[in-house]
Amino acid sequence: MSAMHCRDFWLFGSEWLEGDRNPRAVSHLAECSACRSLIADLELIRDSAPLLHEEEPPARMWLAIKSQLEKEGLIRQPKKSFLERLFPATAFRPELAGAYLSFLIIAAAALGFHMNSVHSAEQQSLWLADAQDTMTPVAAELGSAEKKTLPALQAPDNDINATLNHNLAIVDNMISLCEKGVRQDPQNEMMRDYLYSAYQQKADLLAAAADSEGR
Amino acid sequence: MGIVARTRRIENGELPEADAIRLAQQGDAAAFERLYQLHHRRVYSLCLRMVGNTAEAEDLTQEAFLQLFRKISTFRGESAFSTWLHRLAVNVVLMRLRKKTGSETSLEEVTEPDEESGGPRKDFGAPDLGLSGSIDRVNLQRAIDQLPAGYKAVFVLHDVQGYEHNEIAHIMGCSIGNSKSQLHKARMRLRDLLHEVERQRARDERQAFKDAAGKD
Repeated sequence: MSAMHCRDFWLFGSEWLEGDRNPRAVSHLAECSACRSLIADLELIRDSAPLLHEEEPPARMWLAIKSQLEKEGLIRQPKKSFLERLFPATAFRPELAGAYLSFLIIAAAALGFHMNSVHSAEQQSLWLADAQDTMTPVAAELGSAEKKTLPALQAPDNDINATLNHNLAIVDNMISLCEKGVRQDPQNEMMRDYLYSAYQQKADLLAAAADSEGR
Repeated sequence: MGIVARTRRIENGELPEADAIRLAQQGDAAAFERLYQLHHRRVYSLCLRMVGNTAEAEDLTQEAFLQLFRKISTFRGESAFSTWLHRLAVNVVLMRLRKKTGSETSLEEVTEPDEESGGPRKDFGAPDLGLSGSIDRVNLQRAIDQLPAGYKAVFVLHDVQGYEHNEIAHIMGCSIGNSKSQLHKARMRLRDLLHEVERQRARDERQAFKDAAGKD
């Protein structure tokens, strides 16, 4: 077996670091302090490298990427709810949900009055369907808001929650009766007023529950 | 899976990568974010180690992800997604370095005569040749900054990020042998650079000692 020289060992250095123990290299290393020093340094560099491992980029980076992807039309936005389409901020501001629902209910009421002022026979026959169209999204949004608020209302031994739950049950009962009344007699203004008022009260109660959860 | 359940899984970080890729290919915003969350640290770290400054690393990371998302519909899963992404990222960084230097930067860097042999350049055989037991993170980054782009990429991918040579060959579009050779040369060059740091520190200490003695 011929002896390995330093120059050969330098070329072999990376193999050594990967665990290759060529007998000639072993023999050379036993005799050569310079090559032992070389290997020690290379091992130190290799073992120190993971010190430079992962770093966290700033959070704004994703927002910038997302914004660009939206501009380029590469990402599809999730379908928004009825209320979110009308008032995008409500998705992120539960404490404002009551106010937005109030606005919606007033708008629905105004629409109802406007339609009621037209007394043609054809319009009368469409009243039931129109009333349903107006009531359904409001009721659905209230149901959705209630689901989100429900966990906060289930906290045990909480007087505020007990009162809110009690009042919600009363308002739900009132809504149920009024909806039934409107379906039976869609032109009954007083019944519609009661219904919108009941929706309004429920929205206020849910907003109060969301507020109490935030505290 | 329903849209609500899927969104919840994505938000909770539970959606597997393969599902996130498939949904991102359909343009799902939450799936894009999930893929970003899975890989952003590694890509950013790669860019940071390659260019050595945070502002440029942010810019490059952003560019790499944008390219990824623009091309995601073409991903067919022939290679690992992370390998594909890293290949994109390395290309983005190398392109930037090429623009900076105004010349082509390839894996086959022009090497100095001593490096061709793979051997130590100076002071060979000197008794104080070894590095002093530990390497400061800042000095290591400074030394990496001075490496040619090709060496730097292989060193960062292998020694810092833990990729195997066959993966690096795929990422860099080179042979496994080439990856090994570049890594060895990168380490040898780093050794020279770190020695220079130590020599400079020793000179500074001697000078400080002389200055102090002069005052007395």
